[in-house]
Amino acid sequence: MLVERSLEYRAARTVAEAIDLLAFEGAHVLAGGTDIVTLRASGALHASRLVDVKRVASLSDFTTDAGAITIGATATLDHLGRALGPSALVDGARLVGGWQTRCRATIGGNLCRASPAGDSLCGLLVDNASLHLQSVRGDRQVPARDFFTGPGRTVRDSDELLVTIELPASRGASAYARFTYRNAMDLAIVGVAVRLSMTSGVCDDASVAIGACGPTPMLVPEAAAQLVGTIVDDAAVAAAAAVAAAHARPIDDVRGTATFRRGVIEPLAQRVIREAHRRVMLVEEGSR
Amino acid sequence: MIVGQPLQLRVNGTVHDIELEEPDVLLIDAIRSGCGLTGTKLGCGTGDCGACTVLIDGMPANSCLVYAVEVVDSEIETVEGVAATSLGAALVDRIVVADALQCGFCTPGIVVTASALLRSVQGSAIDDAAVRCALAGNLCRCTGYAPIVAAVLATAEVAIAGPARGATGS
Repeated sequence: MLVERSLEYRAARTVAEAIDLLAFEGAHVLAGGTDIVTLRASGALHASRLVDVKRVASLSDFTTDAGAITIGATATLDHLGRALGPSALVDGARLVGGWQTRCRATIGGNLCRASPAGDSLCGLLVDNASLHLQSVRGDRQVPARDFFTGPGRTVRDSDELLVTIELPASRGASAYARFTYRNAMDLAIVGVAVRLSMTSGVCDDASVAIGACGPTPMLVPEAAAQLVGTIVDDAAVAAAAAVAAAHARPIDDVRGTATFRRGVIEPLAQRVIREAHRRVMLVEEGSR
Repeated sequence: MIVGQPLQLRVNGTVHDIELEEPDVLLIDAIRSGCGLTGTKLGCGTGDCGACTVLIDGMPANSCLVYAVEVVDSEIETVEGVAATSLGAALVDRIVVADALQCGFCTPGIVVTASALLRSVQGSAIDDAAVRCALAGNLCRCTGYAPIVAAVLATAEVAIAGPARGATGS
């Protein structure tokens, strides 16, 4: 007997097919499913149509062009962690869940889930990424810094598909780290990403982002300003980390109090600034 | 999707016709109830414990977080298939020798995840940290992990000595 169910599962083979399927009331993108399956099971997410985008071959590719990297939205976190060199985004991808989760979970899914504690989000901010959204209504590029609007919320409309994440070519290097109670299988209590670029040992550009310290991951340009024009010495590192902590707007929740989070952010930020600095100096030496 | 049509799943090299009553039947339920392969265990059901780990096209995944319809184009390997390979059998032997289980509920998932790791590094050395990183998503409440890690490292030494027959890791 053939029965039409209230839930429809459709697997798209092309982007065009996927966006057609998404132009439907109650349609929801299904990528790795590591969040959606549990969200649906708990009743937190309702979908009348799941549009599986994992079989759209072009969406799982990486391309590089003169230093710029375009990442397909369904690239898995495991693939990303192995295929690309160290950066804040890759550091974050390697920290999500366990290996089983990283083998299924996609970078696009991690971004669109928009958890304030999402480990790949801060890296995207400091790496100045741009997100390419496509729907039957057209295309648009959204800077990562404008993408997140609240816990679980982004500017993406329900009929839009995140197609690619574009990282512009840039000098310098970035790093991300988080504080958790356990070494793995935990959510960030706080997270920090930093990008630095240096000329002749002096920082000429910097970017600092903090995660799990507000409703969305956020850039703290005031912290980055403490690094520009310095040799990233102990004084500059301490000043930047203190400013980052002062701008954090954490909440009390089951994983930590706001006071505790503010206490953690400062030493964590120092550590991440030093790691970004170590990486950028390796790049500088390598290019000589 | 229209239910009532059998779904074909390739599990351990065999095609199984599964009747889906709902389009969102989980892979673990399809494997256990549809294929009758009960080695895969349901622990938490939320992707935290790893007891339900299977290989999807050679990569470990929690089968409680995957709908069966998502993997119709994929090769699924369960603990039954993994343990039938020479590498899997060697790992199971070493888990027994190392006393790396007590209640045994997590063991199928650990065998599957560790086999994926051992296949991926075949022919090269592996250290304690690599094993612990790969197995971070497999919880064991009995052993304290040390004998599990030892069993995987002992199997790696055998795998370095000679590639295991039947391994299909990609």
